[in-house]
Amino acid sequence: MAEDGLDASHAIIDQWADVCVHLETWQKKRPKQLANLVYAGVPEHLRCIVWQKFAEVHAKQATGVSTEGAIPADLVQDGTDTGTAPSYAELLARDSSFDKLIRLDIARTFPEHEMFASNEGLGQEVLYNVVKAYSIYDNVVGYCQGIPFLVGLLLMHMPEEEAFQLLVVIVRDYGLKGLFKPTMADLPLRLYQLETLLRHAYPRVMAHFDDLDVSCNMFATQWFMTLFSSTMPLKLSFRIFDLFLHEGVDAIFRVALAIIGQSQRDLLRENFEGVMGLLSRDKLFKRYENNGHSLMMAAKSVVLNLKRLQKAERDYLAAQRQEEQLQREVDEWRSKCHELTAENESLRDKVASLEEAYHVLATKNLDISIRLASSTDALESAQSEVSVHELYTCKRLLCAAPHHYRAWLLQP
Amino acid sequence: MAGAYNYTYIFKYIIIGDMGVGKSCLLHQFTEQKCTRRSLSPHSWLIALTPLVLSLEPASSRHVCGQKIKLQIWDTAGQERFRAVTRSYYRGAAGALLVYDICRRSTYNHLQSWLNDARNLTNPNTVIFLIGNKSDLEAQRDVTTEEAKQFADENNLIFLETSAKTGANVEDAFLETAKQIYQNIQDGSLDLNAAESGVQQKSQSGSVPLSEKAPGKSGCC
Repeated sequence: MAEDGLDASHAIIDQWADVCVHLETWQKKRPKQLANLVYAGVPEHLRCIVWQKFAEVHAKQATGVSTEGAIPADLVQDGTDTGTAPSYAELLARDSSFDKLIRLDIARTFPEHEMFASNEGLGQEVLYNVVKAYSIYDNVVGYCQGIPFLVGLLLMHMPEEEAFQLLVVIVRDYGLKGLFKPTMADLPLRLYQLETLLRHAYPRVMAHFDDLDVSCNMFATQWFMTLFSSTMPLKLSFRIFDLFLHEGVDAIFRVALAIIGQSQRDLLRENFEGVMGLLSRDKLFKRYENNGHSLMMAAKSVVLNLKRLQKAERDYLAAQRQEEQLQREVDEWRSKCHELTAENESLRDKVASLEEAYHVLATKNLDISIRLASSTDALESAQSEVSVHELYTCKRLLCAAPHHYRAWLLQP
Repeated sequence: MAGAYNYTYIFKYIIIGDMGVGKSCLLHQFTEQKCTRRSLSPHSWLIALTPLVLSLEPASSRHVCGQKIKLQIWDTAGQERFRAVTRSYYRGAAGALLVYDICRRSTYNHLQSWLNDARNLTNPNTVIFLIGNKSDLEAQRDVTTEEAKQFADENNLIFLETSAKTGANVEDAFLETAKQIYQNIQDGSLDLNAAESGVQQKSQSGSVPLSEKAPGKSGCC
């Protein structure tokens, strides 16, 4: 089977032509046959139409409204008149607050592709236009690294305005908004779901990853953020994108599981660096450069347990709620701790001032004691002075006494 | 793999900083000694979303203090909204290269928040190296060397201005960091037995793990 479906047979092209007209009928009545066609790859020259058709029907099923031809108005929150969505031309005329960041990334998107290789080329200009227009159009997402790759894929198949409209539908209705918005809240959820699926499908590999400290976010972040297009050869990226538009985010899980499955023997042999190397862009790119079909077939044979996937989502959300609850408690304790610290400090101040007062009193006390002691000394010396004086007086009296009386007094 | 164990230590580095400051180019210049767009491997030129983990065997010209040291370098995404993702990669880093663009003041103004992450999520002995990149674009300079030096002094960082384009000072920045880490090992301030030291030492009985088990979903508390 050709990578790009260029030599697709007439019969297959006829089938695809029919799919484009009666997609919903195919989905209802011939889902297996449709899946076979998708896994085999949409013929390159039909991709523009098929992708738009898939997205249109998907959007209709997701929102219940047809989005054909017009930009859906519900995403526009530009603070002006929300009733009428700005046209693509109007968006292009406005300035984006993400302009600098977008410009930094434009030259770093598909740099090997001839369409986007030149800094002055038309490719980079239209890429910039679409990404900028989107950053104004969707002010919840704005600009997120990863979006240019999707836009690049689209621009390789359709004119810029159509690429923009398809991007709007894809981000809104294929669950990418949660990945791209500033909190990127859905990324850890998707990674957790992937981890759960991998643990079930390849427990030995995951045990090995645990030993090595390898976690899914280290290799799968860009699988989700660019739908593999920053990792895989272009022709394979297109085929994965075919599948994504047909199946939604499940396609990413399928391909991810297929990659780990096809590499498991090598992964089990490697240390940390070896594992990161095997799952790096350079290695995957080389591995699947002429071998994309085998990956698509492996993805097809992946049995995706939807119940497990949903349970993983519920578990993740429950764990997150619990974590948030814990965080709230931690915050409460923290603020209580702050209060107590403040109270402690004021008590400490009180103690300090009391200590000072005590010190003053103690000094006074000492002073008084000293004065008391010196008074006592003075008193004692005064007393002894008195007795010396008395003795002297007695002596004088004695001397003055009559002679016989003195002899009588002095006899032993 | 011949020479796979031809080293005494492995140091884990993480490269952080705003979008477009040249993190991937610095890494590429250090590993390949060139950084023109044509010479870059596709990955080095692509927006880095998943960390690129490169391991460098010690080249004979790159011995640090006579030691053969292998560097395991983690390159990261710079956009603000990827912060939460990047935070889970800090743990166990022995060195952090904090990069800004001397031609874009906003990237310098954000250093404090990057530094907070680095301080909070690594161990106290992690060597943080401040790099003012794009020194070849002197005419467009927006941040003076003096103020950056002062910032570095105030925050106890080692500082150099580099050019990933010409290669000026790039090797010095990577190797100085290694030297500092090695000194910390020598004077005992870096405990190799600690799980978060970011240093793996080759020993007869096997190697000390670079870090403990993977962090939980949110990474930090």
